Amino acid sequence: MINPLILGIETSCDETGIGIVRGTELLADTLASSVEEQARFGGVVPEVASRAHVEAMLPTLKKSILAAGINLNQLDAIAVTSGPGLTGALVVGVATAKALGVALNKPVYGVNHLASHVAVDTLENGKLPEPVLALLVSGGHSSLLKVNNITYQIESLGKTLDDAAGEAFDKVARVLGLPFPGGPWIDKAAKDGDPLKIDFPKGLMSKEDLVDHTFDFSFSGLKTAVARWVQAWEKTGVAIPVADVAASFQEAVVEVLVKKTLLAAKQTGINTVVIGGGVAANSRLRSLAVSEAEKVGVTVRIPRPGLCTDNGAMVAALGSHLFSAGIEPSELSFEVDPILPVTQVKAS
Amino acid sequence: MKGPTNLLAIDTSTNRIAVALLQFGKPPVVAIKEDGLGHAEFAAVLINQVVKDSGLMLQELGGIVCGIGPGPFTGLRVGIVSAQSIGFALNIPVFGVCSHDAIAFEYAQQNPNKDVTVITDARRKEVYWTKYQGIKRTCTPRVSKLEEVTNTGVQLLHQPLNPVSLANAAIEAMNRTEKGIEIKSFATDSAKGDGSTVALPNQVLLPPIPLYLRKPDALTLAERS
Ligand SMILES: [Zn+2]
Repeated sequence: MINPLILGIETSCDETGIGIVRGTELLADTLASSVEEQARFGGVVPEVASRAHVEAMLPTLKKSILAAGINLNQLDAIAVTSGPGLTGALVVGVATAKALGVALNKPVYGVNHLASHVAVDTLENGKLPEPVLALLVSGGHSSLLKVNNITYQIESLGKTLDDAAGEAFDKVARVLGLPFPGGPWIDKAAKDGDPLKIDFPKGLMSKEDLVDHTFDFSFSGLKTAVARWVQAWEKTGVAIPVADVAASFQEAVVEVLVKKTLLAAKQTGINTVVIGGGVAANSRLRSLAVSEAEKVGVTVRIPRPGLCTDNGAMVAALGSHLFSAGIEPSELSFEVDPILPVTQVKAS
Repeated sequence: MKGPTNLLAIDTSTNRIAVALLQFGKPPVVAIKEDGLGHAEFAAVLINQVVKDSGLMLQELGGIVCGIGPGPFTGLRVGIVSAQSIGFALNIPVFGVCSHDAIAFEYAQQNPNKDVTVITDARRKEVYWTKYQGIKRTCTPRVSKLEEVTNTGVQLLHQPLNPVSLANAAIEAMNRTEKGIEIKSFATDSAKGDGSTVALPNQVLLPPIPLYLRKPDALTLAERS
């Protein structure tokens, strides 16, 4: 079938996402977020996220079906994130997908969240070249991937050794007295700041690290350095230059991400890069990636910010590619896997 | 029976995944998986199995009842969400019954009107417990250490939940009202999740939402400062 009708369900973290696609045409992308509830805790609390998913699931599903103008019996298949993510959150989506599959007698694909972040780009920018590089950066993951084929062959080139990039944004935001989630606030504050004002450390960029951890990331040292810098400054009694700290911190993160990604392009000879994940909504990452890539003849593809953050459309997009490629659905007993490796695109 | 004739019952409030399909005038079809820590893996498999074994078409189902707990949350949610989703897909009513009510119902069939306490595992060295006289709750479900369960009558400690009894407890509740399926909501504060504050209506159908007796394991920023 050329253009299958696919429902995608995403509940790996704090967003309840339902997306509906026909082939690579996006029909609906509906989201309920528990971020306001999470903000009261200053971060994502797994049990809070799970409770919110249960409350939001049916209303979000109904809204999405209405927006797409379809009925459930018309679906060709259902796709759902089976990992990686928070176990208690993942099970809500997986239980929903399986129950719908049984009730409607439709195949169910358990799919990889990271691969979905790559697949969503095809909804906006068309077919992916093979192979293609992918940089995925969010509050839960920071990975550099070589995608040979989105439906069955993805290699990990590197990942964060400690904090995810988005986590560093959240923690630095908290140090600066900015709300959760930190990404958008740091981005906004940084616009009035000098990115070269403070020379924060850039993780795993030394000569030795570039040999041993060529494509790995580390943001924990940077986060600590910012906290120390702010602590030291507080002793002066002068107000903290929030804009400059935000801009300098953001520059340190973005520079590493862009440099390593373009180094991967050079070493692998692959000249197209897809960027996804919540941090891909960061305006400085978007502009620096595009301008630096242009200099070396690399094409950068980034979906609009709403499709970079977690959503159901990305899961539907990957499901659509799997279905169209004639790949067998998952067994009804497929597992939720909080640490599902990116090499496993589909749950067996 | 005023309620639906073909009733699907699902409970995942304990380590057991319990599913049954009741058809009027036929013996119930049951599927149970013990030690089902992987509720999300197998609940749908068991549901599929009872439907196949019953020879029914899913479209012939008249309603779905799910156990709403108390029970460990991650597993509990699987049964509830499955019931909600199937009900939505088939456009049939979905309702909840307190899971302990099902255990008390089963016991009362042989021992009517006895004072009993239903006790199930709550993890973290605690238990969920509810007191009954026959099938009537005499206190709302609680969570505490086993030693703190106030002792009157018979203790039903970790008695397995029979999904047929869950369905029969629901049918019993339907038979109490003229309307058949009438769902009485209860005030649930999922943020607080404190059992002593849940006013859970007795011997009626409940909405298919989890009965939370513990609040999320985290402090808000306001509580921390
Ligand atoms: Zn993500």
